[in-house]
Amino acid sequence: MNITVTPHGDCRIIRVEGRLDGITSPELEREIVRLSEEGCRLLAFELDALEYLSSAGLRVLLLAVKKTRAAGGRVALYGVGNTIREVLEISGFLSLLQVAGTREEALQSLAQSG
Amino acid sequence: MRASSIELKPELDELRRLERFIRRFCDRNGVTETVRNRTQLICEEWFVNVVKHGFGGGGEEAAGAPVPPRITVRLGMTRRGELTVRLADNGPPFNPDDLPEPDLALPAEQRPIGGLGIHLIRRLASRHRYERTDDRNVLTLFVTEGGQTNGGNQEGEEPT
Repeated sequence: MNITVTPHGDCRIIRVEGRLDGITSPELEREIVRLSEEGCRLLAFELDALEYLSSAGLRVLLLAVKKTRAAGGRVALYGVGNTIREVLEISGFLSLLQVAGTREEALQSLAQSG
Repeated sequence: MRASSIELKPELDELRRLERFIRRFCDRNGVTETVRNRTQLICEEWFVNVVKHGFGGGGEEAAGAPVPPRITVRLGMTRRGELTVRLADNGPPFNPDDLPEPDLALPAEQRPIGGLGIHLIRRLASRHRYERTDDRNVLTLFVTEGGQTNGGNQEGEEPT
């Protein structure tokens, strides 16, 4: 798994590539905690290169939602493929976070919530 | 039925070996990406659960009876082209059907962190069956390309 964080105004774009599973998810969790401690409350996850997502990864996404909401912010996802979408859907996550089609839409929806 | 199996140690790092095992089996049997991905998820969620709750925490509960852990995954293909998964472990009895469905309507603030693994297993398999035999948990699942289902715990034949 690879994580790349890029600032975009008040927002942080978090690109996650590869597998987000029981082995790799603690790394993303540390990143989320770090960003939250820095005061970031708008997170956009770029997931077009995410190949696999298990409940360990869902746990971290939920953590991101909880932390940003507690600070009055939000989480958006974009670039979500069918495989990943199936997991989000079964787990009831599509109602917890914004799933946007493009980076622009994701950033726009986050900006409106700010 | 073509079949292949692997034995795993109760350590999280074994996930990588499990992943490669599943990939190799699926490549060899022409399994689609959707079915392979569902199989990977089912096996990971089950394995992590077994490691954490079955043998995890190391030995307080197991102190009385030091049985060496045995965790096996067996994959097969039926003649109808369904992928079958047989997950067996000799941890304490654990029937996934005894777990209540998670409340997916809860807002984020009230959502418990975790607890989705078994839910995923039940939903990603087209059907499954649990047995406790010879002091082992044996979970048999069928994974198909077909529409996602309510993951019913039905043992019957498919409609003809």
